[in-house]
Amino acid sequence: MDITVIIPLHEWNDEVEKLYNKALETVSVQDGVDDRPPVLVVYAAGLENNDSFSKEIEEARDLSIAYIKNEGKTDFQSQINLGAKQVKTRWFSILEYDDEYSTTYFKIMSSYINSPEFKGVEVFLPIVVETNKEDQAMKITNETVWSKQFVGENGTMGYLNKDSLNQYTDFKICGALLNTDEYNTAGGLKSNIKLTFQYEFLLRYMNNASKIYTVPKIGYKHLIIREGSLFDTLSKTMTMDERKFWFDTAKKEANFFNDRPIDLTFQNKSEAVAEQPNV
Amino acid sequence: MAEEGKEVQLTPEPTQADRVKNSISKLEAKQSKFLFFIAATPNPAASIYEIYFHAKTVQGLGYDVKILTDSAQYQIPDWIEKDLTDIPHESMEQAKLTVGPEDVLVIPEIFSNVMEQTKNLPAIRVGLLQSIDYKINALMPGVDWKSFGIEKIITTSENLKDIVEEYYGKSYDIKTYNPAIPDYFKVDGELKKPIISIVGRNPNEIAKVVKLFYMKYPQYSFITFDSMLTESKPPQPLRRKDYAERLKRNFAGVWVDRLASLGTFPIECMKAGCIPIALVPDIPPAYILDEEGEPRENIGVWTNDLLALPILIGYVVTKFLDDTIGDEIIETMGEVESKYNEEDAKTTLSEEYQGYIDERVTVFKTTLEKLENKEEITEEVKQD
Repeated sequence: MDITVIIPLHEWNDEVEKLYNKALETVSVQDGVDDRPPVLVVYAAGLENNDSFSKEIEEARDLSIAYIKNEGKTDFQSQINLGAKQVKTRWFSILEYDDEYSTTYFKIMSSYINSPEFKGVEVFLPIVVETNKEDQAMKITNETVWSKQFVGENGTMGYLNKDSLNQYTDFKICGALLNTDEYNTAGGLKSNIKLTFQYEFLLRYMNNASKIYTVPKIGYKHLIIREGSLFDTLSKTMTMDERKFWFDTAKKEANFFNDRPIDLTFQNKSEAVAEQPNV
Repeated sequence: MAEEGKEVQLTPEPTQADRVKNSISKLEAKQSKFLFFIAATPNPAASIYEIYFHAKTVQGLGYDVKILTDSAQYQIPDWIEKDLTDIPHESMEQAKLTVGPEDVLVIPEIFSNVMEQTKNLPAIRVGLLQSIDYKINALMPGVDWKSFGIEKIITTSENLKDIVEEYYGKSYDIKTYNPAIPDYFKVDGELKKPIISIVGRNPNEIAKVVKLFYMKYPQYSFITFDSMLTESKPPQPLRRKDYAERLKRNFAGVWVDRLASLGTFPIECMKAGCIPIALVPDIPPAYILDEEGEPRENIGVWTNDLLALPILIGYVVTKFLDDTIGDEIIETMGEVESKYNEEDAKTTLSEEYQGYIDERVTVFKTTLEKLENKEEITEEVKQD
């Protein structure tokens, strides 16, 4: 199988362990394919000091798992970028430790990457089901590209296009299949961008005339907001102006391949304005 | 009048036996003409395609075939592939045709007027029955094809044969065959899109199904319903090959046609690997029933209730997105559609049309024998 799975890990406790094992099981229990993809776990340095995690590293599984210690920046984006540099297959996919693949994910994705019809596609997004912590489906994501109204008259159904991405921002790249070379050439995910790094990434691909296609199958289950996660924190603390700032930043930064430092003074000013009482 | 003084050679009038002999030799030499009657329709219809398929099959047997159209303005349908329609056409209004006892007229059910107008012709006349609804509509109460001297029928299903025998009697010579769905409908590894083909006779019913689906399942608002027309403005009917290509890409096909007699669209869907979601017509297609007449499983989703369709569509959409459409459905649909192939249809139709010719040869030979015996007796009587 020409796919590698990257799992970023920046924390370890009983709950993470439970979710991580469940996530790995979904890589293992797959229908319609004979082999299983290699897994790269990129973990934040220091986790190995946890006994339970160090046992995890030594544990033999039916999957081929390589562990990479991340000693630099330990944010999500940096971990993925570090993993992507180690990937030896043509494609890789990001699996968050609290998420799951569908049982036919690799069968379906293999049929797309092997189809001559989709030869030029650099990113295959699955339809993602977002669930709450009770495992109830709350919404689906990435499906909008199949809506005629979304792609517009000039767009092609199934493919993301720049015009519609300017109007609609809710796309998830976890569970996506990414072309490894293209990802590394395009600069990967930018760690200087908060909140909107996925959006910036997709915009950048669009600016680079890359093809992004949503495979019309539910391939990935994503826990919508896990308590204590980055997005949980951001959703609780970020003001509307801050959000707007990050979307504007994403649009601007999408014109550059490199991860440029972000001038946060405007954001701070916005915050200050937002905090002033109404007169 | 002969000129005076000149000797005139008189050709003796052909006897009845001579005429029969002539017909037999024409029949045996495949000099029969086959005339297929056809009506212009605004939209593509499987019934029109079928007439051309018959005509082409007979032409393939070596006969002289002509299409007789209902008006001089008739346009050869461009949605049918050209190699099927390149047959001489002539309008009924302008046609000056002579038909003999060796010729064959194939008259679809809508042309009850033609059946009546041709009742005194000596040709073999065959009623082509594809829709019981059209047949009933085209006839006055109490009138039957027998009133026009038509006793030979070719029809597209055993169900239609049963209905004819039930209501019009069992004295017809009814031949059945399975119409062909062209091979270009066959799915060949195409990856399916979240698009549903939707076709039906009544646009209001179609609109109702679509609106109720979107109301019930707002999360599936990205699902598109494809009315199988071109994307031009105004939309035009698709050529059949393009229609097949579209169907091969779509994952399901909704069908609402209460009056259908065969149900071509669901078979096309099955061939194209598209799940049919259908309202059972007044005459349930034979292929949705098993040998005991019970509803067959795994041939798509069928219901008698129009208002159940939106929910069933939702069910199939979920199965498609979850990739849980079982292999058994694909296999059973394959079993059904494989019976509707070009090779078998050509073989059966060739046998049936050739059978009419062979039957007439046998009848004429018997007649000839009788006539010759009669002539011998007359000659003997004269000599005595």
